Amino acid sequence: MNDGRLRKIRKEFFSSVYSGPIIAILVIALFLSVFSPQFLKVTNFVNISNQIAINIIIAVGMTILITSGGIDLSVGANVALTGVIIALYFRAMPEGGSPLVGILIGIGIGALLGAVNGAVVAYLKAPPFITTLGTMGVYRGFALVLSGGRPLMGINTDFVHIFSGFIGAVPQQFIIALLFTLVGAFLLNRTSIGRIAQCMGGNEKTLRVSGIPVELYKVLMYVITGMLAAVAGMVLTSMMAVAEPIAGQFYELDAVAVVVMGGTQLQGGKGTVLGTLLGAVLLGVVRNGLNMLGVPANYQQLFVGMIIMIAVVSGSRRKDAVQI
Amino acid sequence: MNTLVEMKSLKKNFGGIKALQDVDLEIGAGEIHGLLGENGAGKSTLMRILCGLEVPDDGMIRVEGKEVRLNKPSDAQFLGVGMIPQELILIDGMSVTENIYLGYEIHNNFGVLDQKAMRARARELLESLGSEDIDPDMYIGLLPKAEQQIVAIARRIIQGGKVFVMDEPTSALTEKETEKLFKVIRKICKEGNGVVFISHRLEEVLEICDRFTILRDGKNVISIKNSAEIGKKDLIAYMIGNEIEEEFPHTVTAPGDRVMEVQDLSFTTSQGRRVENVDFHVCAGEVVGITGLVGVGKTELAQTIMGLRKKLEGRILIGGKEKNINSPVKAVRNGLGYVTEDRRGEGLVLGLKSLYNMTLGALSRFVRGMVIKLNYEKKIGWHYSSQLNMKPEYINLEARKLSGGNQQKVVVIRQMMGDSDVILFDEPTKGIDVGAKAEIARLISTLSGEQKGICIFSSEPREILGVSDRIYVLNNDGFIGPFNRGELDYKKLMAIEFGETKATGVGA
Repeated sequence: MNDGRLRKIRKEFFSSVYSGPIIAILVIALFLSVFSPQFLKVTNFVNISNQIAINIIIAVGMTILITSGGIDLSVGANVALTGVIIALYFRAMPEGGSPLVGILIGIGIGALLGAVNGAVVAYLKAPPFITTLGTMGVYRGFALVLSGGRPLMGINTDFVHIFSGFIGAVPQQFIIALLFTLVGAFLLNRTSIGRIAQCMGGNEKTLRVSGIPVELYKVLMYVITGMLAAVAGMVLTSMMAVAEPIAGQFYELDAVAVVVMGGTQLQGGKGTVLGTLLGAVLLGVVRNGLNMLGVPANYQQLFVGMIIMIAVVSGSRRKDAVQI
Repeated sequence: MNTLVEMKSLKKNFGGIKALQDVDLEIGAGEIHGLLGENGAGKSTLMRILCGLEVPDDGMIRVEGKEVRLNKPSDAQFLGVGMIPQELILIDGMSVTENIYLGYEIHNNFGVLDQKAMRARARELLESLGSEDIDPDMYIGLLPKAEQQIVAIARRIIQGGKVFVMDEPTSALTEKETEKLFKVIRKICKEGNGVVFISHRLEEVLEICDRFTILRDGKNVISIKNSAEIGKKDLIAYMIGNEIEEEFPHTVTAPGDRVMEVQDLSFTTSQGRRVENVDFHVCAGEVVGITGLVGVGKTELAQTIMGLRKKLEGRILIGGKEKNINSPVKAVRNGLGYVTEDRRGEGLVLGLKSLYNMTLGALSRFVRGMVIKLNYEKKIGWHYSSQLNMKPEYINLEARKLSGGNQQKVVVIRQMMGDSDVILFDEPTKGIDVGAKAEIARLISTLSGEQKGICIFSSEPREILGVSDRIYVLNNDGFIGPFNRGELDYKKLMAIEFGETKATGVGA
């Protein structure tokens, strides 16, 4: 009897989308704990969680967007531009400005950048990949022009303490990332926005003939992604206490990689935010492990690329990528 | 006369549906063979088998006396048998010559394309077809439809075509263009080729065909030579036989106010034909049937009303007030609901749970704030699916895993959950089994009992006669009706659909 239940749990685990990344994480962790004495130390876990927080925040938004059939390559540039604009605000204020206003400006910028992407895709019917490749350049350009190409100091310290630091031994930004993971999972699975995202990625025509304002919702998906990228921008700016116009390069690729590694279908329709979290942890552990083992930087790229390939290929061979 | 193709005792089943039962067909050299039958009689299946797109369950096919197996289209093409579809095989951005020689290019001694030779031969070929006015250098996209078809025929000749299957080749053509096409068809037959000609336009069929094979319900009815004694009436009689009216559940309710009125509407069909002066109305609690042959523009009419297709002229009144409906969002806001013909392509999100497919049109019913009340959603889903005799576990399955009938139920449930005043059903029972058909008909009746106005667009005469309170017919001459329930029977309806009777309706 007990045996039957165990078998059922086992079956469910292996047929779930989460089994792949979980097994991969465990195997790699086991390997590292044997070959690197540093790996199992608390400071190392703090390190990993510190490193993956920003990727998680961006990737949560990307999960919802990819589920809805879109993609946003401008998130990395969005991270930088948000940071630069907030820094400019703090620097312009005689008292150093208010952190709350800074946050509102940041979220607003993120929403605006997302809305621009969304509007071009939804109303001008441009393909999302090329559209956001274009805005990636535009947003990055704005960040460079507005900052004069130099890193901007003078970030409000209260603002810095909101987005970075520690609660006990846990990095604050990691807690923020987990918080947004939960919000994102809830949004995707329990709200009408998430439901519509799934429908839109599955068959946009169905939504259209059902009289749902597809264009409006499409813009909304990009706005959500943009706002989350802006949050990541604020975290990054706080962590470094400086706004770098060249920050966030290749963040978009990391985000797309962990979304797909987590089991979300790149062609849309099915997505999992928790899977994305696992994907980000997997990528973080791999990067950390390569450092621990002292693998030269040039080889690290190669290994990370291979891990992503393996994860994506094994995920796409699964019959039902996600059971929600 | 030599026989080019001989098909004998062909059988084909789709699931439980017998599409072909012992069907024979012979195509002689130099013959234009008319293949006739109503929608669903088995014409397309038979031709798909001949062209290698479908493998028969049983039966024999001979091409030029040799028994052959046609497992894929290239098998048929190798033997010179192929379809001339209306679109698809021509590439708009290429010239006439390039299209004719696509995949069969002539190379010179250096392995380079010999443009000159191809152009010269293309011109020769077009001349031999009596179409010397087609410029071999012209882009296909710039040619009129009829000339495109002639180029398609020329292309098949280059590929070694001997038997040309043409399914409704004239549906998008003007009378003059049709004449031109007919001239070409006659020319290729004179050279000893064979043509299978499928058309709903019986005048044309009588004009051009040498022989007819008529199918009904997947069986041969007759194969006869064309002669002066045969008229449209005879052909229709062969096609429909002695029809027994089938029982459709129908409850007559007293119609209420006019919920939707369509006045002087005109629109273009997907084949580019203009349909004008569409006038009809739907009352609350009433089922209005709009019928006509496949391709006549019923779906396009439904799309125009829903704001999915551009309205050229005319007005749509909802509850007595004119509304400018230019998008489905506005249509739904004004109380219209739409069940599309293409269930899998448009009606359903196939990878999504059936339950979610049911509720996506009425999500606002299930949310508090933005949060979906999942248990409530499931309860309502169960309620409706049990009403429709769907197994409760089906609502947790992805829509792709359901049968056609159950998929249609999912789409209908979506409309039941919504609060539309008028629901447009496009081919609601197409491709679903008999049991599910009756259930869908019952549902439609239930919906009208709830004082919703129902509008059915269907090319299934039995369904239209069975469920409608009022019937309008769309044919090539225009929009005809209304006919009240009982005023039409099967024969009369078919006569109007085929344009045999120039009837104008009485009634309402």
